Amino acid sequence: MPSIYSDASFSDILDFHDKDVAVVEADIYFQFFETILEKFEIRPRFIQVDDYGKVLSLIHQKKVSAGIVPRLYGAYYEKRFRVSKSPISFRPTELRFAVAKGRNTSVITTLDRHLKILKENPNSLFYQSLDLWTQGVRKVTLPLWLRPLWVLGITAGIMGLIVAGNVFLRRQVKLRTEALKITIAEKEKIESELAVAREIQLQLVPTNFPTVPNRKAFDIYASLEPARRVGGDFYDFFFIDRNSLCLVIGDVSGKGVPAALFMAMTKTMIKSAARLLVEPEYILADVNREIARNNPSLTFVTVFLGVLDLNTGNLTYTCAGHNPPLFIGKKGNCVLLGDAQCPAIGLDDTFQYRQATVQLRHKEGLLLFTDGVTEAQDDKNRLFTQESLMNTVSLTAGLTPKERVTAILSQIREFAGNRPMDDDITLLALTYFSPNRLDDTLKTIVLRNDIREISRIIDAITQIADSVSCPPVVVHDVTLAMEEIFSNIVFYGFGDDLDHNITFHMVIEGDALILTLQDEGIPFNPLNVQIGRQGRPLEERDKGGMGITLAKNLMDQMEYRRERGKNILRMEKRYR
Amino acid sequence: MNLLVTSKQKMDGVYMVSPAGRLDTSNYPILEERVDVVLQEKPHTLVFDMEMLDYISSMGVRVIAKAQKAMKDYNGRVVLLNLQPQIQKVFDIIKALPSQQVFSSMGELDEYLDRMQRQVTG
Repeated sequence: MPSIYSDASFSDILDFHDKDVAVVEADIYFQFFETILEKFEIRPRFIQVDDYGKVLSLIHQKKVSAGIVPRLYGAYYEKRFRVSKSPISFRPTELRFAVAKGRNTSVITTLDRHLKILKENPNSLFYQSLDLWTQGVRKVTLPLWLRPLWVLGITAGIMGLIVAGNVFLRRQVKLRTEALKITIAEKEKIESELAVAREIQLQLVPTNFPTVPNRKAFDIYASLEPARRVGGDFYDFFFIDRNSLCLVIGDVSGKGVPAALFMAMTKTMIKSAARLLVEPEYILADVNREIARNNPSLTFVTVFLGVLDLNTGNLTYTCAGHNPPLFIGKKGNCVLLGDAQCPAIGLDDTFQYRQATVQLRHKEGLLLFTDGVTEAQDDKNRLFTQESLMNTVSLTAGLTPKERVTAILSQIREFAGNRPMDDDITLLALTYFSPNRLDDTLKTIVLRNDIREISRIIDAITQIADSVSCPPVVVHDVTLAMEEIFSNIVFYGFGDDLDHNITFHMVIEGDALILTLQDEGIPFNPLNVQIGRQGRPLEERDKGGMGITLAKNLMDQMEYRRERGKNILRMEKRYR
Repeated sequence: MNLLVTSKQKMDGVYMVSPAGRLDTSNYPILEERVDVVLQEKPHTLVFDMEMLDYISSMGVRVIAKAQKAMKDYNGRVVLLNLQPQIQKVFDIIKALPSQQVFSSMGELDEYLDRMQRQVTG
């Protein structure tokens, strides 16, 4: 079937009259069209060209008004020549097939099948004839996504997405950076706040431990190791009066600066209340009332407070929600001071407090601690426990409080390994020395003015010397010197035949033995006795003088004083 | 701690007293009594063998000094033998015993006694 291309004015076959119409010479459509027009006596001027391309080209160049090309050719080339098909059509040929009745479908199917085979092969007769007609240009139908507009669109879309994504990511990075900056700043703020809290904490607890080597009533040591996160532990010790030592340990709930300030307040209040009220139950009841009345944050404090009477060794204590401390025997055996358990301080101003008393004997001790000790954890989250603490303490018999605390801390560190502490670790250790002690490094004996009493002096010296592993030569020298001085007092000291007392006192001071003899006899300073003149025969020496000379030479130091009617002779001998 | 004192005649005119244990203020009379008995024999040499003596106080030294004084009247002599360090120390401090009167072994003492004998006889 042919197609007629024309300018817009062609809508009817009559329009062809007297117009220029391009046709291909000897074209079946041209001849048929000419025949039709003659029937209607329409006579256009046919301009005969060599091919259909020329036809469409002439129409495009407006050299003719219309042109006739086959429909298939027109469909392929109309766009290239930018011409439009007119609505006029005619049918030059018709193919008619006659088939047997009922075979219609099978014929069409057969045709279709063969046509399909032909269409599948690009070199088939179908395409060869098509090429003949279309002059080699095949209309290729591109897939949807390969069409230029789509490709462009998709590319633009992808680029758009990339750009948008980039912008989005940049924005996200910027936002995250800002957020991180704020987080870091906050972290630094918290860190510095914690540092401030730690500083407050460490500056508030006493770190000057009295170190009087002689005649002291107690030995004390404490340690506070602040954890990174939490900080509310404190301890304190101070004299309420000349004879009463107050011991305090506590743990404030919460952390950081608020906890540190709360702890400072509590510690100060306890100290001032203690000086007024003396009894632990009154002290803590008073502090609780004061704090609980104005405590909107409901921060609370656990406190153990004990008052030790240094004369009697009686410890009166109240335990306000705190870990009960350990009472440590002379051999390291320990028990919990579990009486007088009362509520923590700060929650309710009507809480009642009570107290209990326990007696410390000579060289018995106490260990106050916070839950950071028993709840120290290792890398498997196991707790150090009270049992471990008690076992560790049992190995510290005979150690000073400082050595004891150091030993416990090193045990905890060994247990925890690399794990940092989660809570403050606070320990306070005390060892009590009774003023009425009968000690193995200190002895006082009252002797009669009888020379046989010398054996008691020798026994005492031997006993003390053994306890400090004194070399035998020192024991010999000291024994001999004491014999000389004592016999001198017995024989010449009183000038009568009455009974008198001579007091012998001996103590270890550092690495020296200190021996003192006191008598109420005639004032006599043995240091004034001269060593006999050189060369003078032995038998002519003054009797008393020889012994005193011997004693002076055997001892490292000798001092005499007369005090309140007594001769007091102090002798010193280094033993190592 | 007790004191045990023995004595014997070593040779003609030479007597030996051996205190053993502890010689102190409370027991020096034991030694003093024995020395007094020996001195009645008027020995020209009195030897104190101190080998078994662990301790001596000034009262013990005085017993020896007293014997020396008694023998001086007839030119007798006191001689000390085998002093333990702590005993030596006491005599050193008192600085009264001439070193020629102290011997550290029986051999040394015998040599001295032979020399004395020759002086007397020769």
